[in-house]
Amino acid sequence: MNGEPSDAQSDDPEPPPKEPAPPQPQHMVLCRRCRRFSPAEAVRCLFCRAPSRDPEAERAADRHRIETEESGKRFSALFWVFGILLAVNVGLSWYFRATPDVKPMTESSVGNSAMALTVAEVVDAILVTFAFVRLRSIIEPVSGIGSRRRLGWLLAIPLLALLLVANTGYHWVLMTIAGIRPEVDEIVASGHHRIWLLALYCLQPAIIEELFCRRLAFDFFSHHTTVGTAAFASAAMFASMHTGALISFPYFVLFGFVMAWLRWWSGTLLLPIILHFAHNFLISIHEMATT
Amino acid sequence: MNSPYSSLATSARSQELKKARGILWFVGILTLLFQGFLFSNARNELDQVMNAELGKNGASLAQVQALPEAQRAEFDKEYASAFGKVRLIYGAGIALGVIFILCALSVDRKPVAATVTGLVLYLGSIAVQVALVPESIVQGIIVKILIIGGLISSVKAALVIEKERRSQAVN
Repeated sequence: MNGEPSDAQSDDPEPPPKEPAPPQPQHMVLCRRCRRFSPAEAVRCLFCRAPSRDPEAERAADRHRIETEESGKRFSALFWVFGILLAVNVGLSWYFRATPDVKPMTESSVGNSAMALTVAEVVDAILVTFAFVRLRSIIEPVSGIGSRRRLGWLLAIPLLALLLVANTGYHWVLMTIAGIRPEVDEIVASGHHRIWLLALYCLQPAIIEELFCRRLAFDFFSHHTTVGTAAFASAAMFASMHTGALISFPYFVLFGFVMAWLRWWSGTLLLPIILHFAHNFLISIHEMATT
Repeated sequence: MNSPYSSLATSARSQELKKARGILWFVGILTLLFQGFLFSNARNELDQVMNAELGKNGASLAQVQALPEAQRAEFDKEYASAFGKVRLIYGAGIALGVIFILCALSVDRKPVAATVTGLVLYLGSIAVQVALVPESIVQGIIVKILIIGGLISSVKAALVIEKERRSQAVN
């Protein structure tokens, strides 16, 4: 017995080196129907075809579902505000259509029109402010905003000048191609209640539209997509809000797009508000001066 | 995520995008055809309106057009301007149809931009129609609601898809 083992050991061939095991799935899941294991990656159990069930994946799916639902709710809230803003615009245009046309407009007729505009703008302001108060904590500015603060402020004036040139040029080309005489805004041309009209045309839109389009809509979209796409989507919303001038849609998209980028670069809503105000003010003053 | 649930959810969202593409094609082609017809018929439509307006004063368009050129110069200018305006409005309608089709074509590449633009433009165009012709609010209201509902759910799906694409790109 003593010599055998050594002889046997010397005669036995060396065990072949073990081949590396085939890569195993990192994570196996137990099928709740057939109680056999399948890879977590499999959509269904490999044996009985029952849908796989992985607690970790389920938790992730739950998180994902909650996120999706929350994002859907936020979009619905934004969409409702947008819809009501459109409805207010439609109501205002119905009012103007129903009012008898007085040419040239008298002080009282301008006063009535300005009052109707004021009511519509107050309704818009209340609605957007309410939406802002409710949504600001859940639609927060995305990280990375305001990373080029100086660039935003530096580009503001040149971009405003370019926008004004684009506005004039676009409408001039459109009018020339169509052979239309430019129409004057009867309310502005009347010369009555100028300060009131300036406030209506410049102050409220600058604050309320920027609050809705650049703070709520842009920030919401930028959580889900790239800055460029978010800027474009919020600009499309901004342009569609101007139902009275659907022909100017491309210009409004451009304007909204530039304002959204300025908000992104500067990180503040103050810059788009100031530029929007300056833009509307310069156009109104130009109309008042030329008529 | 590779779980079966996420695969199912992704597939459901892809279906939503397909639906959005279908809706945008449908709205785009319909808008193009309708506005194209109105654009080509603009002169007849304007003539009818002019005849009705002139008829209030006991005149007709044919009578005015029979006047010597010098006498109807001002009328001709007004007519040309009104004609240009009508064509511009219907031309904008055609452009709207083209934008819807462009949105349909870019649904896969830029889901959020395409669906949001389609939705807000559709709503904007309805608002303009309703502002001009209040009765149009009830015309085809069920189809309008279906289109809006379909586009809203597509936007929601597009938001999730782009967010997923972004997180995958980061990872």
